[in-house]
Amino acid sequence: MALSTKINLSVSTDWKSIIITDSTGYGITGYGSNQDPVGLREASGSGTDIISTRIILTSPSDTIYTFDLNASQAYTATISPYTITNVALGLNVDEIIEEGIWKVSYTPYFANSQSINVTNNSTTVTYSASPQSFTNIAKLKTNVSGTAVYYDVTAINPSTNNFTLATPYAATTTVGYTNYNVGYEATELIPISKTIKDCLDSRVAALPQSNCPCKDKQVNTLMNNYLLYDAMFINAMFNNEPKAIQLYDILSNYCSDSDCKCNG
Amino acid sequence: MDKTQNLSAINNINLSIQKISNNFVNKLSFGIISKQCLDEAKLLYLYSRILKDRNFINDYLTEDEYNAIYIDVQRITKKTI
Repeated sequence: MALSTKINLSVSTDWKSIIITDSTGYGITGYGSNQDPVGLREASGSGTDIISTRIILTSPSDTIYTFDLNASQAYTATISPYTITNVALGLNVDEIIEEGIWKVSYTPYFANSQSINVTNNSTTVTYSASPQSFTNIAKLKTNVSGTAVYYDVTAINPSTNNFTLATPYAATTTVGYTNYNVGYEATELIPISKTIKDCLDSRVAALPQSNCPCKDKQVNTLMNNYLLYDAMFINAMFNNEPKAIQLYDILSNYCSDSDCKCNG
Repeated sequence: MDKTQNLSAINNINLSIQKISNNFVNKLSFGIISKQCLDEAKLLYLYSRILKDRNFINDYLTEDEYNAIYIDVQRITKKTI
């Protein structure tokens, strides 16, 4: 079977770093010698075939941060967590990461076992055979005069031996092109929600000394909101972006109101 | 609340939640679990959430807040264990 990359995301307790853990593993859909094509999707052991890894973070305000890992860094990222700090995102050392729902794309790139045919200004890439060489790929990385050019793959059509690019190929038409890599992308969301967490915790901390006339209702509301808080992270983990954002907004609204919450 | 008190509070909370849960399961079908008992179980759950995340290393909560939680935990757990 084909490689299927997976990641887990977490955030440091000080909300200053996002930690990416490659959870692809080994075996039939992980890195390993039993991949198809055989021996071209190794991350460790006898062969280390990862050529590079591209990590793209999209902030809640749609700013894009790109990190290109070389072969050595890419291999290390498969066996130990890769941390992106606030400083790497251009922030000062004491600043927290922008709050909201972040999107992380993690794509290791590999060489492939066969040549492809690419046509200038066309989105269709053809190959002669072995469609399994392209199963699950999400990206195509080409090399034009020493510069890497990345394309998103939108559809793989094994029955007709071709796949489709999101944007037209922008280089010279080449038959039998081999200087390319295929990328297996994993994406996940992670909420950065320090203000919400501080708000919920501080309201619980205030409960013992609360003079609110509706303390029971406060407790119920906080219970519900902790459940929503957990649900926000679960939805993020499963890439349900609309729901994760909706939950983030609900909790932000709750926290922007006054403390007593007798009406809600 | 120091490290020992913090761990003690979490242990008390966990025992109480277990006790309350068991009572709830046992008594649910007879409808004899009190609203107060349930409200206190919720309160303990909330305390346990922040005590796990806001431990003695983290200085987010004030000493007064820690102590007030500890006293409230003691009040509830003494009744339910």
